[in-house]
Amino acid sequence: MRRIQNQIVLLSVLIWIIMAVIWLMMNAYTQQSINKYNEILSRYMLMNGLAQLSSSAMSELDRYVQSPQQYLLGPYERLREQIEQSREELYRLRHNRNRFELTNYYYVSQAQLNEMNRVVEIIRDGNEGDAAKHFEEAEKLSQYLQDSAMRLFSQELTTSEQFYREIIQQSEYVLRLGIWILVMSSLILFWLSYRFARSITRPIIELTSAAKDISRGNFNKPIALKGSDEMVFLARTFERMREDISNYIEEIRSKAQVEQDLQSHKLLLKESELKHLQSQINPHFLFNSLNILSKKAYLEGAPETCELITSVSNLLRYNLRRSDGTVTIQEELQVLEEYMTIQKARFGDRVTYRVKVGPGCSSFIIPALTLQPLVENAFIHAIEPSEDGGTIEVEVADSTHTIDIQVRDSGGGMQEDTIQQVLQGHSMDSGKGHSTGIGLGNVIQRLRLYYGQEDIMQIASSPETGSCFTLKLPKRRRYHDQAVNRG
Amino acid sequence: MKRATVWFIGFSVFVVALGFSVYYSYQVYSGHKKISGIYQQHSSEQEPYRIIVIGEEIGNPFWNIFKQGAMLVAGERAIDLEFWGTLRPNSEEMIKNMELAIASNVDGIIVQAVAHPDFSQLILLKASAAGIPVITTASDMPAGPESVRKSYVGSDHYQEGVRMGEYVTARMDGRGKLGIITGHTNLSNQSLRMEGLREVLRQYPGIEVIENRLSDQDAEQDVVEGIRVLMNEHPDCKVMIGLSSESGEKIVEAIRRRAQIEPYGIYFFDDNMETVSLVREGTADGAIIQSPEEMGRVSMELMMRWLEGIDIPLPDVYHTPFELITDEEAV
Repeated sequence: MRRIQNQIVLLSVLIWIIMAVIWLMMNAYTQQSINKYNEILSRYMLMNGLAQLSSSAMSELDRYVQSPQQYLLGPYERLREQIEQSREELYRLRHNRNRFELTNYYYVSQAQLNEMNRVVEIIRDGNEGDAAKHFEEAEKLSQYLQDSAMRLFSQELTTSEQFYREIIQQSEYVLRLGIWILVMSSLILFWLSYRFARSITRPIIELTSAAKDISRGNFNKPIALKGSDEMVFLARTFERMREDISNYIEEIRSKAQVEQDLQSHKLLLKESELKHLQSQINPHFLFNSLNILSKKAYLEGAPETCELITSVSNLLRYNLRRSDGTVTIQEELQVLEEYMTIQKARFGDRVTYRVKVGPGCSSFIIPALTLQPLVENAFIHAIEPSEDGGTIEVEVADSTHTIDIQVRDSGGGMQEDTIQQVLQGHSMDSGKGHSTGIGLGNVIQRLRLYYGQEDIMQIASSPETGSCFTLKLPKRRRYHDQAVNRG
Repeated sequence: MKRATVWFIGFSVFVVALGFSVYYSYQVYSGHKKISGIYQQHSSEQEPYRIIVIGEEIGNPFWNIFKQGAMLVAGERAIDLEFWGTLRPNSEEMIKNMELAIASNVDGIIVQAVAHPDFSQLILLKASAAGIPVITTASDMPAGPESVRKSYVGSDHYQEGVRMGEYVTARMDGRGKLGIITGHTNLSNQSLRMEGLREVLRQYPGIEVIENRLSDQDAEQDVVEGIRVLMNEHPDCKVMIGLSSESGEKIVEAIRRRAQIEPYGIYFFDDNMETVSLVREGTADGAIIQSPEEMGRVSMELMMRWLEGIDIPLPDVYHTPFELITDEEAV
């Protein structure tokens, strides 16, 4: 992974190297110039030195000539050696421009040296010759040596002038070179710094905008960062988090959708059932006909028939009006009473009917047509098949959290698989033979939907004691409360 | 848009800076080489010959043209050639230069001979003792046993005199007065020219020759004064010959002081290639000019032949051509 720290270090090292290279270059150049100057200066000194040495040698020689003592020869000899040495050194300083003058200088010096030596030889060793004449010659040559030095200097200065001009020109170029290199390296550094800063800030900016998107609830924009530093690592982690959240939300949403679909499907089913039932006959026509029948029976002196028809009419009216609403237990029991009146007329004394309502239970609200189908079911399965008739007991009791409604009959009980079928909400005889067309299964399903609870009904059955349907209706409905809350 | 502009400007500046950096790097590099070249150590195995040319009035056009010829040879053969000399005629200085050249142990000396007692006796002996060949040019030294020069390269001054004499006598129709003016410089040349003139004039008895008198050698105005005296004594002398550049100039100067130039016939021998302009502008009527370019070239070639040991001994004299320029041609 390319780390930000490494990048910073790299940038610093790069800057350092550029600085160092420029500094070294300038320094090397300056040093080189200084060396050149020194070289020239030492040349001048050497050239001038020879002429001075030779005139010193002349004066030493003069002293010796004035009084030829051996000890006076010492300083002259030393000077002579210095001159020899100086001449050789000087000879090595020849270059193409001063070659002529320097060679002349070299030879004039040699000629003078020869003359001086001859003087010494004549005086010291007693050689043949005129010492004064040779001394004079040496003096003249010493003068020529000065002239020769002048010519050499003149040439040397001409050369130096050229050299200095070049050096001045050079330093001008070096200065300009330095400035342009500074401009160039500054630009490179600006560019690198810019790139570096961008490589850090751009991921931050992108992450910021991604974070904004996410905070607005937009989980669909992918975060794609290229590279390999810490920021990219951060971005990747963030991206994974975004994807996870997005997936979770999608999951929750689809679950809710499924649930909602299911719910509406059920409601639609029920509604269509009701519509189907209602559409079987025009209930108002039936209702009005029944009323007319009732009045006719009364006028013809048959009060029992009149009462029966009234009950049927009431039952029908209730059915029509309440089939999709809720009622109190009181109202439901009244309808049950009407139904019993009809059944009593049919079965006479064969049936015994008891209702027991616990205190405070009458005003409890339940879905309409809950009890009547249960009782009717008891009639169909328990009373009708039996020649001796039977007993039907309805008991409404207030438990702590529920209202318990029990419908007991004294019939021959139910098969176990029939009970299971009923409890699963699809009994075989659903609605068949029932006065309201609403069977046990329908009741159970409606109650389950209404209360949002599966175990709303229990059925206990045996051939000896008959069947007992127990409804445990919670005082607080779960499903609807939730539905309301969810809005 | 704005960003792109900034990038564009940045990039352009970078390219410019890069260009200048490269340019100045190259300048510094080549300058460095040039500087090193200035003080480049002399490295050739073979020492080039060192030859010195010593002349009087070394700055005048004669020597400049001479230099061109000599440099031609020096350049071809890679010879170190130097010109020493005096700015004014000065025999002492010439001798000092000779001595210095001999002490410098040069390989060869090309010198304009001067009329000085030390010149032939002392210097040439010294030079031959040191083994340095000497070639005279422009003016020769008097012939004789002391003349140990290897050769003379220059005009035949005697023939110059003859040529001038023939021309002037023709212009004068063989009669009248002729003034001959001698100056202080190049005395040996002047006497040779005079001999040539006399040779011709001997055939023309109708021409009366008048000479100026050199009383005092050092007096600057002496030549002019001499001409003035001559003109006073012989007002009918309308033709004059100057034996040197100097005397030619003095004749013009002297006549200008007192009379119109036109009636006079002025002739002279040109030594410095400068006074010839007097003829070109119409002041003077004729002059003999020499060939300094050829002198430079030939003297160098002869010197090289001597140094390289080819064609020894050298010819005693090598006469370069001369030319008579007259106002007839000029006009």
